[in-house]
Amino acid sequence: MKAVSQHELGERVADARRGKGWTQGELAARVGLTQTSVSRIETGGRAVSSLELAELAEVLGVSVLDLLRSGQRPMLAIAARLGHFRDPGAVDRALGRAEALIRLDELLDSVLGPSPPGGSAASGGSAAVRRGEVGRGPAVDQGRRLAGQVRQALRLGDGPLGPLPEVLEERLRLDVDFSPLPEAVDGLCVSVGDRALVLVGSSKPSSRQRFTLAHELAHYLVDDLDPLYVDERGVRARSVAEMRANAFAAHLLMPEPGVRAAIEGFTDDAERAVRVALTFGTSVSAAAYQLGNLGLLPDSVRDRLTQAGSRPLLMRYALPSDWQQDESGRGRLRPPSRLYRRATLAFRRGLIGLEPIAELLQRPDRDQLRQELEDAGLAPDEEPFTAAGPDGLDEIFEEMAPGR
Amino acid sequence: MSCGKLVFDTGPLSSFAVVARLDLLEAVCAGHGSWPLSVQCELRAGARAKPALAGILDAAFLGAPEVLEHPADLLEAELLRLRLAGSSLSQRHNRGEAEAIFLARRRRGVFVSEDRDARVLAAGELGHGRVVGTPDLLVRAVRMGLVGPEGARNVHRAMLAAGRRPGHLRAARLAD
Repeated sequence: MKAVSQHELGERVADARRGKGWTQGELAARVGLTQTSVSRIETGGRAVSSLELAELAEVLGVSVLDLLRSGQRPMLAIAARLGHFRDPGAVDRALGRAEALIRLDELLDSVLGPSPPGGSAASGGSAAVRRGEVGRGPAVDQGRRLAGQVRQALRLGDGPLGPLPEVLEERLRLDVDFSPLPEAVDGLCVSVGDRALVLVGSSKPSSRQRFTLAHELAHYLVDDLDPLYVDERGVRARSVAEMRANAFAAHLLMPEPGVRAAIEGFTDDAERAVRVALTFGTSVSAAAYQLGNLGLLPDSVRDRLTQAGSRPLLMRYALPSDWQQDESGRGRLRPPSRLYRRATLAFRRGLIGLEPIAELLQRPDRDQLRQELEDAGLAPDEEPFTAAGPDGLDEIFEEMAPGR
Repeated sequence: MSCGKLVFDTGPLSSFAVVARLDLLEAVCAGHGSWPLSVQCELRAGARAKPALAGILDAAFLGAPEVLEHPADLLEAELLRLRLAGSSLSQRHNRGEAEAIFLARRRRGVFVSEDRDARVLAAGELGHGRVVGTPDLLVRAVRMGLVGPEGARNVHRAMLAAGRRPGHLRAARLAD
């Protein structure tokens, strides 16, 4: 990684300042420098100390690394799935987690060497599923076709999928992260260069997280990511891409032959929806929509079921524990497994400290985490690294002695 | 005049300062100590809450703090810092450790620290044996005849009593 020149560094500081709409004097006041100093820094006429640079970066809301490294960082491409209520800025806040994960990946590349995102190349999943090809026709048909292609390419059959994060990571080479996103954001798909990452809000029930993950996969596969695509659920923003992604998610999770098999022998409409939801790990609402779309449920019944919510329907037609199991997914965090494996490897080798691991796992209890990593054999043993101790110090002082 | 081969992180300087034994540290360093500006700034900030740290700010034996200004140096130090601090914390976090490791690497010196992760990372960067801690300095002081084994133990105990975590002082080392 090469560094910028002092002149380029100054230009980047100036760009960031102008991006904030500040004068040089306003920036100077915020970082405790004079306006003249800021002016000279921006024109490359004055060097910046590390502390000044950290202060400038913090105030300007940029990273020191981005100010210093030469070349342009590839732009983030984003697709976000928003919940029912509006929260301006929620996507930006959710992007903070994506940025942190991408930076960690870059950091690990720098100490371990690059690693292909997601599962091993041997799985061949993403090679078989070609991105950007959805054909023509209504959005819903595009989504259904694409889901069929994915199931076929990955030889998934017509039954329920296993744990979806693993399917995406191991077969499609995507990184998947479950994190506490702003309430308004269900999920987010981010692509930077050849890295692709799906974030799913961990505050939602398991069934909703699952649907969101499949929905974001559609955006990735169709290449809805460039430059910024934000879904807003509800009647006001039912774009082609959103409808396609929803249809894709529904058909990927609940393929028609599997749905028909799941409801065989059940005549009660509500019970059918519950069977489909339990079989495929979706919400009852998503199952009712899919049954309706397949012509297996009247629209009026579908609307009634989607308004009722999962809890009463599961309690009536299944078990209370089924609802509890769905709810138990709330708050469960999951880092991308590729990043976790690489980060713990780097930690064990003494290439990174504990903090990047704590950041990845979103663990505030550093001492406990360190102990857990030690117990798992994942922590470096300090002694082999720094065992020279006083004897080594004697040798070092001998080396430093005058005349040597 | 310091030739600056013992590059100090904040921890050991704080430990000797809070027990008012900077004289011992100065004698152990024997003109070889140095520190980056970020370490001095961390100590200055710390001295506001703990006045005992102020003594180190006036200590001449470390020489003037070293300032990193060249973008290439700043980038190298930042990459070391990110390996310790990740990207979510403040960009000031772990700056002292990172710059001390950078300076020790540049001049093939020794990194002196009490921070476990920084020591491990520095050992990989600097080579085996180029990382020492506060207990190593105390043992060195005994070997130099600056203090007896019991005196070194007392200094170590005082550091612990002052809330410092200087690392384990092995009795066997003092007896060598």
